[in-house]
Amino acid sequence: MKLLFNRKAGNGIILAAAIVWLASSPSGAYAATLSSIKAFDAGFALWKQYGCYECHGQQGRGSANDGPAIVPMNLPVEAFNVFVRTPANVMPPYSEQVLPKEDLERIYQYLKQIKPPRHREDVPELR
Amino acid sequence: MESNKDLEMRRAFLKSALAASTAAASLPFSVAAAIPDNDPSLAVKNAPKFPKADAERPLESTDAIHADVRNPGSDFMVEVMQAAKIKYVAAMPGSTFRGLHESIVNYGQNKAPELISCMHEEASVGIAHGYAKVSGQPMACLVHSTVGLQHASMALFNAWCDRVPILAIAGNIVDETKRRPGIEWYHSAQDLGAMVRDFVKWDDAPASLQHFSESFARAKSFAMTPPMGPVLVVADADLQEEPIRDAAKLLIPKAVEVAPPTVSARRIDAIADQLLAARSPLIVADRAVRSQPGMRALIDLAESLGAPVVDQLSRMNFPTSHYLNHSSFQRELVRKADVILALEVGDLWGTLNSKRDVPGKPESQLYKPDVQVISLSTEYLFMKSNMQDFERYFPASMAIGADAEETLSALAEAVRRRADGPQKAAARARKEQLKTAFDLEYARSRELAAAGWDDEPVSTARLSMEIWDKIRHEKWALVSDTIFVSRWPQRLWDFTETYQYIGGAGGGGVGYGAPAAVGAALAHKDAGRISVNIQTDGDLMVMPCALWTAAHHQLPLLTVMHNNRAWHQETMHIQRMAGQRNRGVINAGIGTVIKEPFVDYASLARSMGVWAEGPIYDPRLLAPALGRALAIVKMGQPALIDVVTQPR
Repeated sequence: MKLLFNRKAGNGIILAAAIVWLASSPSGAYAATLSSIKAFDAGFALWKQYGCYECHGQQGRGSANDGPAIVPMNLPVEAFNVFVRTPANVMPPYSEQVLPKEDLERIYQYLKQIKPPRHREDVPELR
Repeated sequence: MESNKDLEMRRAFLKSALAASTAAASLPFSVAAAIPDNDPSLAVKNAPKFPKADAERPLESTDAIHADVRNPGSDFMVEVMQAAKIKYVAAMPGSTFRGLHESIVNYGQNKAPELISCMHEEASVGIAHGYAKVSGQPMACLVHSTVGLQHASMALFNAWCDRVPILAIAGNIVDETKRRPGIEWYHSAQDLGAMVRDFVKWDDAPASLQHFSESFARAKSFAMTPPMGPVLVVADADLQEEPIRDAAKLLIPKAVEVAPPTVSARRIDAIADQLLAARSPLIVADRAVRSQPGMRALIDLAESLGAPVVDQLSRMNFPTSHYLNHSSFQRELVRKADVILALEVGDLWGTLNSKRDVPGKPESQLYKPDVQVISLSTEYLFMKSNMQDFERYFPASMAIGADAEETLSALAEAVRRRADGPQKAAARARKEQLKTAFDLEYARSRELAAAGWDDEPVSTARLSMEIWDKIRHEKWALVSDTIFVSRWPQRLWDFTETYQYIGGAGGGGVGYGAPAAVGAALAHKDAGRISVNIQTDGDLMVMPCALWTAAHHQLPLLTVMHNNRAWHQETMHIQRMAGQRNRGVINAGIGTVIKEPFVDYASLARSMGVWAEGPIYDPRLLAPALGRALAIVKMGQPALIDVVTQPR
């Protein structure tokens, strides 16, 4: 399911595709998927709202001069939270006052659901 | 409050002062003081030689008004520019240089120098900036006195910081009696060069045509002598427009080429020995290389030493595909090095130290305590005080005031000649390790580029790689800075020639990108190459008019927007401040994000005659659009693709 969560086709198309696919699925899976899509979108909105994308990119791939890639997100949530609250280097600290715990949790879930990076062997231009 | 007595005293003083001044006003002060009021004979004997200020003057002859000025001074100025081999002169029109403008297009037939039409003086100078870095020759630019020079000043500052030669010529009307009432007074200055004197290498305001000719030659020589820089010559409007009085006496001196300072053979041997004795030598190059032989010499030097090279990319110093290019690892290599050769490094302290942008600005030393730093730079030879572009002081172990490009060949030869057997073996061993590290980094860069390949908006890695895929088999050059696209072109493309990259603005003045790209494209067009400009959006909005110049002069320039819809650097600064103050960052986009509305760069370009497409958000649409744009460029026209991108 993670592969579905890529923004390239836009929310509407993703949602439509998911609904079509889930039409034949058990109702529990349908509800769970819709919930995941909503969580993904909510997390993405917060990722942008709190400006994380400025340094780490909209899909968390990072940039050479600003913020490192943080996808795939391999940190446990506890370690992720500690880092965001008390970061190293020049990353601004995000206290709970400015970034509530619930929002941070949604951002973490967003990062966990981002499509895994492609391998260079899969990209003809980069071989 | 003043008392009545005070007021009476002031009235009495003013009354007497008024009477005295009325009596003296009709005559020059010295004559009035010498003539007693009651002695008419003395008054006649000492009559002033010059008419009274309030005397009636005859109307000027209509013959004079309609004089046929067949030999204006500006024709001579054009010959001065021709003698200096000025190929182009960039200008937005302005009345204080109308005489010179007319002479360029008529007397000089608009050929060498050819006028490059601009829509802003900052664009004129920016174009000259880009042109000089590609061609190695200065372009002239004409600016309109007070107002034009103020517009030009930002770009002159960039050129000063970037050590780039530019010949700025500013019109002015120095003789107040020649100014028409009104606007010409606003467009005249007593000392025009004062406005930019802190960041031009030299300036002068010649008082005669012969003076102009000698100052122009001197200006070009100064501009071209390392450390190079912009210069300013004021061309008085009266000198331009009045007839040449005695043409036979006018001479045009040659602009001498000053041999750049280099290093004695004894000192070169000493440097070579120190480098050869190093276990971990490191070469850092910033504005070091100006030519292909210079790059070849740097390659020879690095290979002979088995030393990694960090290219700080103010110029294209070292091929990106060479296994000794380890520019991504500057910090790690500085920490490890025991001898560092710094070649025209603008910020030596910043290269060897770290300063974090957190409260208190803590700093740390990266280098080993016993490191030997050999700094070879013309920066030691010429500097000015007010602008702080000289960066923080660092006491090099050996500081040499000399030109790196001029010295590299002899240094490489000395290293080859003086290396003994064990030193050669050590160099070979280092090269093997460095080859392996280079290959790993090469693969890692591609891995990172692949990671966001399908992301929307388009990743800067994909943007760069798709461009490379299209141009790699052409005669190409990148004419824009790469710092804002995470240096992806250097990590993914194969740069082998010095002209293929020209660094950035130098002074960080926004609005450099598009004009410099246009100027560089002009030089590349003459050399039969196409140019690519990866153009940041905020920067383009400062000088979009440069696109019109590209269209007007039919320049083969492919502009690909890196449109992250923000002044992204500034967004991060506001975030950083808000984070440090625990105020939350959600307002950091106010004043820093370019939205509501988004700018339609394709329409903007089309409005100025540039073929354009976009905005492109889906990365799959990029390659076909680039193909269409490149076809336009290969026909000799500019094209622009607006690509919405990830922040960096």
